[in-house]
Amino acid sequence: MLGLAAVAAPIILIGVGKASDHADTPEIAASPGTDITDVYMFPSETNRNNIVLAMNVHPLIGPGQGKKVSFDPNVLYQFKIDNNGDGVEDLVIQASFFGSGPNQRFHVTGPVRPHTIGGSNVLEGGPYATDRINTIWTGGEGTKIFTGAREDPFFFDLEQFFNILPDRATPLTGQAVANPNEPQQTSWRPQGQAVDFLSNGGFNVLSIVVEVPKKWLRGSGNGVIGMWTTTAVKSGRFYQQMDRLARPVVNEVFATVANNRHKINDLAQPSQDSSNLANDIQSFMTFPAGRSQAITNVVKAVLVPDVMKVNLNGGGAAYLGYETGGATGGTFGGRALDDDVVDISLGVVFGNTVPALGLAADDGNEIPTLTSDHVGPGGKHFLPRFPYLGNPR
Amino acid sequence: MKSIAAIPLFGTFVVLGWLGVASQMSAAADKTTRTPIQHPAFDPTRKDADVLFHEGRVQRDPGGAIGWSMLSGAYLARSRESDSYPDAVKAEQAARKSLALRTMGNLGGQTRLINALLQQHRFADALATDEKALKIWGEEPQLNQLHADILIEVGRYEDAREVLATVPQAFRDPTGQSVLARLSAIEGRPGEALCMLKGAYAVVDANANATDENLAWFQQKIGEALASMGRTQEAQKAFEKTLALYPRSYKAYANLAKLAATRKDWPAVVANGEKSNAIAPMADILALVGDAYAHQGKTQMAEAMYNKVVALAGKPATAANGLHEFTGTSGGHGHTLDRQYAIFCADHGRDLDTAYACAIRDLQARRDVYAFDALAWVCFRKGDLGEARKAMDKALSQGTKDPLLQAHADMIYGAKMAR
Repeated sequence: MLGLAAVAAPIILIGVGKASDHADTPEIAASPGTDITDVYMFPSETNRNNIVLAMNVHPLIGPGQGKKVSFDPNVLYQFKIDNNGDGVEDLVIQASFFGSGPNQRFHVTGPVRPHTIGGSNVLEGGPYATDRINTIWTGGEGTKIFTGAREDPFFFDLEQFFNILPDRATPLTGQAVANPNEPQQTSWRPQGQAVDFLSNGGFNVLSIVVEVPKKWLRGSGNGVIGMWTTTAVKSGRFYQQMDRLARPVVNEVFATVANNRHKINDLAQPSQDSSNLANDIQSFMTFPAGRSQAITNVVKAVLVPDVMKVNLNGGGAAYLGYETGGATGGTFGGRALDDDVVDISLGVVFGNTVPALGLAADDGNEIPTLTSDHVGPGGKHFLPRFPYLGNPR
Repeated sequence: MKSIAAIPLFGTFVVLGWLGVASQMSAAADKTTRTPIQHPAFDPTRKDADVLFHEGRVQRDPGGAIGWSMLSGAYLARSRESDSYPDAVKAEQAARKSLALRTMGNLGGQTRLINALLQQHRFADALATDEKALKIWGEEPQLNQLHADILIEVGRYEDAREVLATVPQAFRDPTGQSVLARLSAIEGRPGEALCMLKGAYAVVDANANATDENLAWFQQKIGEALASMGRTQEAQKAFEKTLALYPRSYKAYANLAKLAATRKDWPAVVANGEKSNAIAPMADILALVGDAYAHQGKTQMAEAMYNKVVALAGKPATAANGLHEFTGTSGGHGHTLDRQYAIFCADHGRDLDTAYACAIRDLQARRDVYAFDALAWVCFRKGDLGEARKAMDKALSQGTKDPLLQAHADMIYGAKMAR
């Protein structure tokens, strides 16, 4: 028997692998600051000469947290405008952010002809507007800028969408879902059961909202412009594109996560959509949509390239309004905050929208259970004036 | 509204109404991007608010897999903050509900289920769940990081090395680096571990979306690495910085108490230990505070703390069956505290037969170097030097340079040589 002291003689040293330790590493969001959630473009409610452009990033900010979150200062946020129809940006409006936290400042410059086009960009020099985030900056000709937290304006039964197409919920880092376009359920949830994922409790986003005179974007063309947004991460003197978004639920629905189809389109340029995105649309319209080639061709013609189109001379914002000659509610086109873009898109893909417009013969292959997610904008709190998107929840 | 000068002479695209500053954007960017990022500060009300928010969401949409997964994450975060067993169980239940609604594409549900099992110290269940998920998810980084971490936890170091070698891309982010650091420390390279943790901290610090609490987690790990290397003053600063970032880090308070004990600063041990215990009672810190009281001659207060250790670990049944199930008041840890109870008994020369049973059962749950160390220490204090040395051989088999293991080894091998 060893002659050891038996009372209060522990060895007090700090080890690296104590008993209560285990894999409790925190979840750190990889890069929500580059994740573009939605894009909007509509006429100003207060100045008929002006147009409003909005892009949202950083999804799923909880209630009460909006003003505690700031933009990623390593990211360049851009509205890109094509005003001659070639799918290449002629103008850019750039937003960048300096510092962090509630005192973060924004710099917005443009619209300006960019020194670089495509996926690798530089900060454009010259004058810029600057202010703290979560304030409205006002300039001449009714120019306004807001950057900061807003209620997420999108409405969608996201849970059921992922139940129908789980591939779309699969992180890029995971093993691809076999048969990624194979629906796992055959219908949306019915009215009364369907829930808008983002209004349920109230999620926020970070928004960049810019109101500028239409003439700044018009160029020498016919007044029809295309707009898309990008986020790009700083790499040396350049910013490399990480995400791209224009029309809603296009890349998100048609392109599979499997085989990196979605990611490839995120990193591509509109001028590349005729091969990349067009093939995704062709594939999806064949299966699961099961539509005729004639209808498929119309959908491809409308949605490729993936830019949000407006006719600056038209009236009334309405998603796909320019492309359909006003059939969706207005010839201005673009996208209004309360446009039910999901139902409009579902009608095009699974419903009779294209035949009803006389753009192609009815193929009789509509799938009525998939033409509406039964969620509307009722849970949102849009504002009648700038910045239009509702106050953060 | 800013009073900034208009610079209208910018081609045809800058319009008079657009006010600007007469400076180059690029110059401004280069100057300002070096500003340290101000991360969102710790909000003590946030975790309760998050739980309420997500509970409300699933009540309104009980059929939503994402909703249940997010609720699981909220329970898990709260469980980690105060080492709450009930919240860990709720996190598991919510994750299982999420996965029952949708398995495909539900990585959040998968990882939260595994983490909830780990939080309950159900290592075998966590490992089995992770390995089942890996068959679906392949080389997914989060699952592979968890896989390696659990393998380290249960002492399957060779298997962990194989994961690190076969899926190296999973270990390039801060979380993966912390797993690598853990294995490096086990393998006796604490300097390398420290370097990795500091690198991971720098990456997290540069992430605008990381919170002060995220940073604190890595700072706490840096402090532990420094302390294990005997760099106590730097460790002290690291733990103080941890608390500045995240005032509810009970582990930082616990480590400050341990550092105070090495200085024999018993009042500081009590002060920091009580703060740690107020957030999340831990058996080793309750015992340490008791020891500090004993050193100050406060024997009744010391005994009261030791009684809390027993209550927390669960009142042992007889040593004959080696079982003691949870009967305590603090949250149902059950036999998950076998190791702590065994070491406590060995340290204080109490109830050594039960301590031995606990050490054996702990070894059955995870055969890591610390389980062998606990067994060696108990055997040594029981007077079974042969078994103590066999266990200590295994505890040191990886070359671990942990000072606690080294101190136990010195006594065990020294005693043998003296006989």
